[in-house]
Amino acid sequence: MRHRILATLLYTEWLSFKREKSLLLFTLLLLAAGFYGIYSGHAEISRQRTKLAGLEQLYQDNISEMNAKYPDGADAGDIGYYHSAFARNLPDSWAALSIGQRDANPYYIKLRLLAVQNQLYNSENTNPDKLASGTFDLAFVLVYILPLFIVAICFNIYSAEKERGTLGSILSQPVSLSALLFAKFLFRFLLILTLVIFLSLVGISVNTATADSRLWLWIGGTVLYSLFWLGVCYVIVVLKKNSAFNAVSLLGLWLLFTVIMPVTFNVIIQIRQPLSEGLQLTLKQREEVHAGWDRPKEQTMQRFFTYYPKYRNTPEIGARFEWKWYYAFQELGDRSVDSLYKVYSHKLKSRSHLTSELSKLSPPATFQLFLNALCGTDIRAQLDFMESAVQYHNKLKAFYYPYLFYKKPFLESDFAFEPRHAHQSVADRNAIYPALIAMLIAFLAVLFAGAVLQLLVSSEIR
Amino acid sequence: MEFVLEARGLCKSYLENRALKPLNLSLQQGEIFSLLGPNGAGKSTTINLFLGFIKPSSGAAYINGIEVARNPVEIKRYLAYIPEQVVLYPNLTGLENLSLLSCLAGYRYNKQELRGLLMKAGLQSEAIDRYTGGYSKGMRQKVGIAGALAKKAKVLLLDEPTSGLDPKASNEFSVLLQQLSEEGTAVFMATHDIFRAREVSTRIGIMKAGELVHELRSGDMDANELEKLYLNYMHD
Amino acid sequence: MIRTISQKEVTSVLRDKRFVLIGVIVVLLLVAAVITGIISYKQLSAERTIAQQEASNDFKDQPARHPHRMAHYGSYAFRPKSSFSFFDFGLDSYTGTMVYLEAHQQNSSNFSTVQQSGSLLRFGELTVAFVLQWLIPLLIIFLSFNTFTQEKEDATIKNLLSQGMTVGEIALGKLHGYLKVLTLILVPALLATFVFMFLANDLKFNGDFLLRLALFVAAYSIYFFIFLALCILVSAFNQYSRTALISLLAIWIFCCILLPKITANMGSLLFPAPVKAEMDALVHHAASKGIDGHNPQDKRRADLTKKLLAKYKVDSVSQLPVNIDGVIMAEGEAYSSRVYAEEFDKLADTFRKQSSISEWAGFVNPFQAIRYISMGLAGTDAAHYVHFLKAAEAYRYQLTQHLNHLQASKLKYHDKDTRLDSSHWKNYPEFEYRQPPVTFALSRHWISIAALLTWGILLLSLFRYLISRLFKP
Repeated sequence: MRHRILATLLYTEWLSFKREKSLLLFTLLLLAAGFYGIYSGHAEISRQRTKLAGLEQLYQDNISEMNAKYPDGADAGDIGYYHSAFARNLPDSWAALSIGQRDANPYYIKLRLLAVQNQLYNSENTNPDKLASGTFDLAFVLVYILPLFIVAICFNIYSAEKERGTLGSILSQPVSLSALLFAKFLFRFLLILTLVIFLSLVGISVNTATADSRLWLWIGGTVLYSLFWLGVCYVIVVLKKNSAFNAVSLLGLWLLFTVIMPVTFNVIIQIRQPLSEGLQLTLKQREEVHAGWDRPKEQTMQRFFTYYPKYRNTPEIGARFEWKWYYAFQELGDRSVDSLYKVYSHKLKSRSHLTSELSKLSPPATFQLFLNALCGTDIRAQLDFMESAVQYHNKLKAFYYPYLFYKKPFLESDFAFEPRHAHQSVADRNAIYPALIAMLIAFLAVLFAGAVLQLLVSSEIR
Repeated sequence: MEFVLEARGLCKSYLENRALKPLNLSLQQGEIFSLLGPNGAGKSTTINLFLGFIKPSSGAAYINGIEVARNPVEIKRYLAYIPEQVVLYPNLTGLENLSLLSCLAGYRYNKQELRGLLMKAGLQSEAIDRYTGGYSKGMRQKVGIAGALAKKAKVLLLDEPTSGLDPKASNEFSVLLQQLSEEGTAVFMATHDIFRAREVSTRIGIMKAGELVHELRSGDMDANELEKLYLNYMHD
Repeated sequence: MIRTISQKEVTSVLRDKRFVLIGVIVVLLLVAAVITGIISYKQLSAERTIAQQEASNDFKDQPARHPHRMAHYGSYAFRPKSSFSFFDFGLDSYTGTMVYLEAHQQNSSNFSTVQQSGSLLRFGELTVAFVLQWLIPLLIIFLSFNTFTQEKEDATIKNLLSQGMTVGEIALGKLHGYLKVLTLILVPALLATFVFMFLANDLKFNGDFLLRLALFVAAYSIYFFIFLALCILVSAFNQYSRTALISLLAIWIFCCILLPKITANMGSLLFPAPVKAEMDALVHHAASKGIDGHNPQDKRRADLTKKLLAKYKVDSVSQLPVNIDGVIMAEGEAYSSRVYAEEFDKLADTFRKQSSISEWAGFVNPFQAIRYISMGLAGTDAAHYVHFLKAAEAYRYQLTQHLNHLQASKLKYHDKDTRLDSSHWKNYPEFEYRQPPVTFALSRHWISIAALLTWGILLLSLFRYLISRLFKP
């Protein structure tokens, strides 16, 4: 009996949905936004992939130039100075679904053998206007537009029936108000579920994203996030106010969670954790490197040898200028700011930690973090890339230093042995589950609030 | 004999305002009871109490012997309700609306049976498959009646059923009610229409300021006398 | 008659507790935006001023050195915060704050806020402009969505019409009344804002600042008028408050959230920009055809040498009265800087084209028009950023050439040991960035200004006509 009533109510919702122009319009708009988001995310990541692939040509051109310049083999010092290699941050196959911070941060770093701290923070040619406007990827559609869609189809669940007068007809049948509301929410949930899964699958297949366990996490997170917003609608709907009140308060809550809260958190972070270490580090590093020219060569080399004892027995510096001495004080410049660099990365990490802690209060912010973490496009992924670029620079040093210290000429064929770099961004697994739990708690909280309100608000129907 | 609709000391007050003073009333199968009274006299409150939409402050309403306030869902198997403005889902057809209502009531009819019910309620056959958004009040009422027929309602609650109906539709409606009554349905309606009430009812009540001030059998007096009696009460 | 209607609207709005509540919230947010704006302005300003001072002093305090070492030592340009920037952060969080200025190469501007922040920044920033551009339109919607529909639902509109008033007159009265309400809320809030600013900051009360302020107020007044007029039109067109509200909220979502993102995305898809590595390679390639200061094998160097030898009628470079190393370096710097400037202009032009789609969208969406005008007036738009980058590059070029000329005139050929005394750097002028005048901002955003004015003028002149055409009883 009960499930038959439920089935009837669901069927009626389906009939109404099919014939209600506005509902159909909202659904089409959500789909259109979703498709555009998938397209534009795909276009952005494809562009990045093309540019990343294009770096190979620049690299080869540079090698040809070197070979033409030094046809009979070169001093590795000259190669280290004029030749550049690239550290590449390859996007994860999911990146196009949630571009995250990938548009704001450089996705490759051009590296020479010189001090790495002077090269690590170079930025990319990006239009700040575009960055400020943000990307229109599938994540944007899910974080921002999906809640608006949910609000649009749910805000008048009760009030429309009451205002139209159909509520009396339904409730004079053996159906309780709770059953009616449940059926209506269930129908909308099923509709959202279908749309969200459809869009996600389209996004995943368009981008040929690897269908690993993240498929379930993505869909699970999205469903949880949808449930949270359905819960918010439930809280407002059980107050049994009119449609205009519902629309205004739900949009207000959307604004609160999606805009006002993140914006406020951002202010808190900027004020509580100011970050001037980057500037300090750059200034200090320049002083250290340039001081190298004036320090006694022997002193520089002795300091260098404490880090590289194996070169201790190589010939002393005799000439006015020798490349190995030059690179030695470049490296010492890096090492002198090592502690500042650690502080800087630590502060970036603690900023990202504070961000995720504060975000727990705002499900949209948490959901955005969740999606970015899942797609390997969050700030953590960027820090990993920078760390891997530093490691790559170390490998380059390990490759070139023997040429410098053992006076080996650098031949054309030696380029084949130069270490190459391609960092693959990966999902930030540590951030995924806390975000899921935060969203689950948020959902349970609104559900509880709604249930309490339902008990408090008079059950009479007038 | 068991009563299908009964009020025992049924009473409703909002803060200081007593919307309904203790009401005692009982209807047997096939009886038609008309409740007369000005706006705000407590007629709709009485109906809402029988429907369980609002809860009594004291006393109780019973449908088919079951207390309404404690079994708000169960009693709806036995009653049908036709509000003043019967509102159907405008983007469903008459047939679909009836199908929805009867399914919710727990009945399964095929299209032919539903069609038959609508025809029995007097709906023109060409209207059955049109969206009810374009229906007149009389047509929507007929769908409501069909709903009552579909669920084999023992009690039919009506709120101002004939207001806004043209005389022909009004007459058709009275005929329908009598048919239902002959089949054993008890009808309880709130109305302003003294003439129709006198014509169609078996019993009539006059309500004023939340109190049932007079009750009579419709055979007791003619329409003119009834109007005089009504106005008398109102002038006090 | 119109005055009566206006008075009625003012009275009924002020009696509405809900509206007063929303008004108070908006004003509080405005004050919060001012405070955080000032805090963040002071923090970033101090950080950059100190760093700039440090960098400039480092340069000045260098001991006797070879000039080319000084050219490699270089300097830094920090972008100062515009004094108007706490009204509207604009793109400031998305632009680099520091450029390293050295010989032979043009570096990127680094350490933007966005690169050092997580995803929260992408949700927006709490500024006065945010409240004015986003929230006040919402306030206007809540204020006026049912101005006609309520009268239709209560049938009071029939009373008014039967008094012989036309719909146009009623609408004008309403417009007048709501403008009064908005003024009542905003003028004290803005006055308080200004007082706050002047108390908290030592701002220069010069003509440019006051002109910006006046234009700011004027532009936002037009913006609010546009939204209010639209709301009244929508309310006249709809029969139910519910549908009027939903339509207006949909318009708000479309204008303030969706369209700006869509046009920005379209811009960057339609006009792709080269990545920095490509641009560097291009500049390098083009410049290496000319004279490379560090490259003695370059044949252009030979040409220049030949020319100089012929000019001074000597046989060898060591006999030249000038140091050819410095001359070659200066020529190389001139050539590569010219190539870079061309590429940079192309890039800036690409960015302008990307944004132009959003600027033209101002004709459809007043939000986008006010956004650019506001950023322009605050000096936080892309044009001001490019202006800073060019100023930094100009300083880099002059500094490098100054040092090259010192090398050419004061040092001998192949002299790597002589050091010039420190007075040569001590007296070199520091990098001091001057923000361009307000006319710069206005000329960069004529499309947006035209769009906003078109909206304002069209709505003002056609308001009565549109109302009477759209009105549905």
